[in-house]
Amino acid sequence: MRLLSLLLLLLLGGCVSAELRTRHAHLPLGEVQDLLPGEADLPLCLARLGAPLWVREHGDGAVLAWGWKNESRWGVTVSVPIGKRMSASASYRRSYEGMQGMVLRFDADWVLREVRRGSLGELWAPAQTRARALDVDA
Amino acid sequence: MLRLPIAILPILLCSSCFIGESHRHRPLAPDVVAALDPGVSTASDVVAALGAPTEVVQLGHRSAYRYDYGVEKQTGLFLLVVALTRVESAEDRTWLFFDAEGVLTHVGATFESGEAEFGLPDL
Repeated sequence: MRLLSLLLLLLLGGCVSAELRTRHAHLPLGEVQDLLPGEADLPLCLARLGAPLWVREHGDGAVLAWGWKNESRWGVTVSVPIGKRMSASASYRRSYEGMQGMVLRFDADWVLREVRRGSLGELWAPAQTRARALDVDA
Repeated sequence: MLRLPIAILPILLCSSCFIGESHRHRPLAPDVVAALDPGVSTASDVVAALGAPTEVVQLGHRSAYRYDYGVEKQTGLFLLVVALTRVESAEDRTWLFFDAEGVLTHVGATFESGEAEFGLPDL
């Protein structure tokens, strides 16, 4: 009973708190098996996958990304008063975040040339988008 | 025997919950997007119908416009010091591709904002 009372005292004092947070996102992925490089084109991919998450220039063509998100995060915080104006606290948090998906590369004629699957953050880094000179009419 | 229930009583009394819903940008009307005609509609027609895009991407001499609308539904449960929160989000998103002359060539649309639901926090 003493242990329970002590535990209750700690809880009522706000000394221990825990949080669990989850995030879901609906992103439909239709049939993708027949999206073959060299055969599929942009209209077919848009019809099967819907609107992409992002579009980036790549050479004379472009890369488009589709993905889905499923994130959970939890944490525990412990705070103990050690004086009139001071308290010590420690916290532990752990998160699982990352968007899984696919990146499709198209050529200048919008023909699919490459398909990559996995974590979007690892599949395509922003640095892979090249700088381009502006065309200025005289 | 009554001590334990009495000890738990404050926890029960101090529990609470909340629900919340947030929106990002203005809703996209599927019929307005469907009315855009590839090969005929121009970038000016698209902007007149849908307003300013969220993002414009330059693709060489071509371009692509993104429009989106997001819904986020939150459910929270507080048991004195334990907070359980669930956030579910979904969105409508449309990409419109234009050629070098600014004529619409392709449309990719996803309308899923209605799929977001309130729910109990996952354990």
